[in-house]
Amino acid sequence: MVLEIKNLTLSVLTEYGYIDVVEGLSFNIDEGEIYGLVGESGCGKTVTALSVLRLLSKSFRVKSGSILFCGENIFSLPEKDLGRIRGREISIVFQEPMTSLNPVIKIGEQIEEMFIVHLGMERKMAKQKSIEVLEEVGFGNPERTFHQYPHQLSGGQRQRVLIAMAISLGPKLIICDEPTTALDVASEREVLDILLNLVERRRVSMLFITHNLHIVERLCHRIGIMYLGRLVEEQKKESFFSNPLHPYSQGLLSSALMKGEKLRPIRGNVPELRNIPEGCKFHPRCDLVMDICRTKEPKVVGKERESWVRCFLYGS
Amino acid sequence: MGEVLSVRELSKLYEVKKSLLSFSSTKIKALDNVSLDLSAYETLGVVGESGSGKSTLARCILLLERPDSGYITFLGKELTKLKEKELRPLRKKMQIVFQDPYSSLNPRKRVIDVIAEPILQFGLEKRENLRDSVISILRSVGLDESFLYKYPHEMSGGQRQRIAIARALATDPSLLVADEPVSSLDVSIQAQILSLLLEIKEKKRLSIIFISHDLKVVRFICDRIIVMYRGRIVEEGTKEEVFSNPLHPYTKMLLSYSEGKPTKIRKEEGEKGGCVYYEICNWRKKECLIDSPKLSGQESHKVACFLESTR
Repeated sequence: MVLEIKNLTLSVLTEYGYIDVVEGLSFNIDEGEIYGLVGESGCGKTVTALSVLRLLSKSFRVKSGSILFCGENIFSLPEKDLGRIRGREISIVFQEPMTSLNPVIKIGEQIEEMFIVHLGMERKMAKQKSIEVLEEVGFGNPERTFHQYPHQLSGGQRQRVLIAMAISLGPKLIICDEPTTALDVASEREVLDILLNLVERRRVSMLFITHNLHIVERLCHRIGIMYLGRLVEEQKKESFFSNPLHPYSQGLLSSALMKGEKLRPIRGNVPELRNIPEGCKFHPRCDLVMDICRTKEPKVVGKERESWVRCFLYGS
Repeated sequence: MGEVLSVRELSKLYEVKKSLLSFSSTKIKALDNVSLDLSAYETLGVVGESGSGKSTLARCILLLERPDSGYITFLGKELTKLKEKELRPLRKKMQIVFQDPYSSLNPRKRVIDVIAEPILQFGLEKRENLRDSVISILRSVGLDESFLYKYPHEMSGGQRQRIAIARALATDPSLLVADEPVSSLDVSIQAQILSLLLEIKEKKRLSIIFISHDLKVVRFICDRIIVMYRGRIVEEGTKEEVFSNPLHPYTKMLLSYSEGKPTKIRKEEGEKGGCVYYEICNWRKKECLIDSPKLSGQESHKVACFLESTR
């Protein structure tokens, strides 16, 4: 296993005290596997991603659980070892390609930095390496791109530069946090093609965070559905799209118009984090709610790494 | 009931400075000879990627921006010839819902103020009846009177978008322009807003121009579809025609994207040609470089492509 998250509970300090934003989260990612973590805003996807790199701000607290990266517990590593892991063994691609790049430094210099800082490479060598990775992410004329500034590139191109930076040091795991949300269809497609290619060629693992089920269908091998800080279902891609188990997953698929032409929206809104309902957290919005759902939280039903769901409809 | 809106040869140029300090500038054609018709109770989808001129089209139709040339006929009146003062009574008949309900609502106004403003502006209701009419508008978008005194920050994205729709409906418009109304919302909320729009369209008998880059959404909600590329309409037709038998290479590419099929795009940048799509077209011919194809074909399906006109 490249990444193993076990029973992770994270809480954040708010004006109402500590509130759990991620609760009892467990999943793992194998070598060369793309894991899609799917959920709506505020469900804890991004916080989970940041916790893997220990990038969470001071107001967050790890209440329990562990994150193992190639067997090493991220939470017990000293700060200086983290510097080795961040960027070199685990890298991250964020949503907004404009804010992740420095607007006054040339593209090439920003990539070179990776090689110089992490590997202590000489500038000349670093330049050559940078041009190589630019070519790998599909720039037809990497030398020209090397000398350009971020504002001279389109959104899709900028995102490809970030991917180039993310792969430059040959990481084992790449975390992508909604990397295509700010892009239009054509550039989205381009970025996804490049990511797929990379995973196949380099055998890296990927944690792909998104709310877009169309992307998941195209890209991911396994899928975890998150709702209000909990993983409610995990399945292999094929079985998920043909047979989603949790009522929330079914609602998402129909909302995204992926099950025919019929639109059946999920009613209500995602509750605020300080008013998390008792029992199954989805019960106020669920059409198939039973009495037991209102008081008790369902346990995992099914087989781990294959397909499981947290719902009383499937026994408990 | 015939045509609500008819747009003829609409063009809009923007001047863009070459760099921050330079005096020279280039002109970008945001809209290039765009013509379209919208009949009563029809939903017209406008599709294209970012920068294709979708939003400029919306803004020009509502005269939020003055087009450089062309004619817009709305409810039998020629809008481009009217002065701002003469335009006012028509403004209440055309309304817009923007993409991002976080920036389109004034953070310092309560819901009642937001919805009451257009009503008061156009003198549609007496002050003493105001509260009741705001409540009935709120009900029509699936909210209730508990929202009256809320501020935008107290509501979720979906609720805010409902308020934005309520504000647009307050003046009882004939035309609603929805500029990517669901693309900044969560998936489950997107579906709620879409079904709300459908319901409103049926109930209020509205004509809607629905701008989106999401083909699945457009297919769901629209009757007719326009595909735009770099300020031009490259294909136009009924939903059934465009989706089952796309003609323009660009439409084909968009469709295969949304179906998850791999498509090759020309990587190397070609010369700029007569046809706007020349640069990246896989099927380009000599004549595409010289001349630009016109939109032609049957009423139910038109395309601007030489490949189709010579077939």
